[in-house]
Amino acid sequence: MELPTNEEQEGINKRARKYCEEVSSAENSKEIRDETLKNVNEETAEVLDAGEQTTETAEKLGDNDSEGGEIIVETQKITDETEENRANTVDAIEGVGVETDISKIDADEIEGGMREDRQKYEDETAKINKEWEEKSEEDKKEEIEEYKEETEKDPRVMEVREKMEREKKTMGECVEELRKETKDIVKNRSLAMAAIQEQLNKGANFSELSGVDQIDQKEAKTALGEISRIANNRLTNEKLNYLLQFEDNLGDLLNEHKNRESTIENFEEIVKMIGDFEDRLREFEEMGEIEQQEAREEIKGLVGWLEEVYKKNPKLWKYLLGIGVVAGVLVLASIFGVPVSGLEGEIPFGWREAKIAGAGAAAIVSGGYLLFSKRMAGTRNDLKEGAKFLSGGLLGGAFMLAGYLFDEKRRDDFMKKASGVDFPGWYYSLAPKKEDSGK
Amino acid sequence: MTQVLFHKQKMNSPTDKEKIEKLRNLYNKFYSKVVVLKKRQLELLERAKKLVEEKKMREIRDRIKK
Repeated sequence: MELPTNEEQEGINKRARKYCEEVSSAENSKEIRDETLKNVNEETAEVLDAGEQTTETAEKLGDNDSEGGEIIVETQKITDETEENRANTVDAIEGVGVETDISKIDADEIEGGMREDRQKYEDETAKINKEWEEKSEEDKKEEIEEYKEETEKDPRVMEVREKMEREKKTMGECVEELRKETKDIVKNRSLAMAAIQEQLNKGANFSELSGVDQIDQKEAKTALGEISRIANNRLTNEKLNYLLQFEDNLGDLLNEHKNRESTIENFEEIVKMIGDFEDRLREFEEMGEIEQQEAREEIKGLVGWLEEVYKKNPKLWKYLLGIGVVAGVLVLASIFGVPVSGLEGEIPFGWREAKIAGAGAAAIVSGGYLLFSKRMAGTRNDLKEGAKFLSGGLLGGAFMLAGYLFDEKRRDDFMKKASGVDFPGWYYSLAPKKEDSGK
Repeated sequence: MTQVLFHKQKMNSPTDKEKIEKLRNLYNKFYSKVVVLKKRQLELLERAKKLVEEKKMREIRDRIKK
């Protein structure tokens, strides 16, 4: 079936519109009233629901938030106004007397009217179809062409076409921009990675450094490899560019691995640097919150990893512990050295030297423990570890105090009080007899 | 068919038309007011949501800082 002409279509549309208007206005007042009330209640409920949601949300801001308070007050006003609006409307609607009277309806008349309308429409359609069928093929083609031409000129069609063109162009521009951006990102990313890799490689050349054994070299290389891995896999191009701002610092730090102490300091510097990096990220105000959050997570991961490196590097503390044990033995030996050497019946030998050595060692150990425990506790934020090292420091301090107290005069006074005998009587009374030791 | 019946009823009851018109006017008056109130309320809701979101982000930032 061919399409009706424009004029025919216009006629059909006009008739249909008129018919629809008549039918759509054919509602009784009772139904309209019920429908109106229903709509009023629904609209009111929507506003009140939104108000409840707003209050609940604003309450999350806390009692001290002035803006949240303002929102709650404003919401209450809106709620009051909405309820007032509803109450007034409902009162007015209920004041309209309505009636539902269908007794006067003549169904036959209506049906007859409808049948008549339908017949008219069918007749018109049949007439149009007949006229069309009677036309020659050439005329039909011509008419179709004309119709097409008219359609082409139709301002609505033109508008749709223009809109499509505009969208197509915008899409094309977007795609091109995206492609360019992607290319830049890839290019920048590889440049950034190459620069970082170069710095890491420079820093990883530990064989020339003095005072670092093979195990440390291996650990340091593993650490650098880990940084490289994180940089490769977890940092985006933008973040890499930011990290590159610290490139020189990173290189310097990695090249300063002269000994174990500086290794520890360098790690602290790296942690600090990561903190600075995070501060810089805050400048990314235009960056979306989600991306900022991701960046922070990555930084947290990196800092966490550095903490792991500390934990995996206990050798320094082993050394210090060893020194502590040796110092303790020295102090104990110095305290008990007198009676031991007295076995030979001589005046105590080496007491003064042993005391000085013991007190000195104890001072070094306690000082070292205190210093490093503070540093480590501060860096790692690990109270347990801090407490452990602090205990070591206190132990060293106790040794030092013992070394200090046990000079000759204090020793004699103390022993006199303890044994009731003057020096050297207390010593001889304590020391085993020669003849006993010969047994 | 029901609509057509009502059409007929309207024709038979001219006073009903006035009532329907009155109801429509009442509803239009109500709607013109409620639509403004709804808009204001939804704007407030959006503002509250935004503030809560900002507060949440601030707390996360503070935690990371610590």
